[in-house]
Amino acid sequence: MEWNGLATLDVWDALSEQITNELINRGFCKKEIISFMVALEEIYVNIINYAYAPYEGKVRTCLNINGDTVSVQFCDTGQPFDPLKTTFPNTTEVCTKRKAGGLGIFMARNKTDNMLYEYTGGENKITLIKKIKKGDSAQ
Amino acid sequence: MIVTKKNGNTISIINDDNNTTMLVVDVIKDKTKTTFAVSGSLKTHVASSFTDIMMDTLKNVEQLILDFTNVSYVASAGLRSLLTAQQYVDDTDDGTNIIITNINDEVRDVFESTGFINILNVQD
Repeated sequence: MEWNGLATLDVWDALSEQITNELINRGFCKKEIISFMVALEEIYVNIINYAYAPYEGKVRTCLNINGDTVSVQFCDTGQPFDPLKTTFPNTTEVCTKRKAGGLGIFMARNKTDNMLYEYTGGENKITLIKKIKKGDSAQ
Repeated sequence: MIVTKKNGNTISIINDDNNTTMLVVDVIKDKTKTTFAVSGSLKTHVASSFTDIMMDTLKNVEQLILDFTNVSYVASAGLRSLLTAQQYVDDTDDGTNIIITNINDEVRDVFESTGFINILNVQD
């Protein structure tokens, strides 16, 4: 499945609902879907905030399901940005010294089995991959 | 953001641009403490408004209880919101505190993996 549209929070809310519903309809565990959706949101929001700043731009989203493996790829034509090269936040820092930056990509990597990045054809292509259990839609 | 009153308490409803409800904060006031019964997800779309509600409340209470019974997940923007409030309380150092209760497994996982479990006051 593929979607094209402006990278905005409203578009993401509609898109995330569609992806969630598709995964629920395919019988994946709702609890794990929510966790995966948090990871997707972090990357999508990063594209909104930084890829085209201060302007808006488009993002193409592709959902692929292969057995129990779900992958979502986001493609944008904004500034090249490799999320795999970002440094992780210091998660042991005390509250007063704790910085707010870097948490989103850290969470996205934590909540997925694999994250891939390539810059080809003038596009950032970020793919998030996760094995998701079937069943148990309650939570 | 829509703010309504019911039985003396305030309910703040944070909507998106299409008027879809994203987060509901039922504010229950007691003499010295205020409880936020939060419903929804602490995501990017609502984090800024949620921070505003917390910061306004923290100026006037000794204790703020965030009841997350109906919070399905917390995104990084939500973490930043909680960090802002906790750092304000720590900096002010006047005895005001924030307690977060009734978090689900998803929220606990986020708090633990990011180390926020050690800087926030999370109680069962």
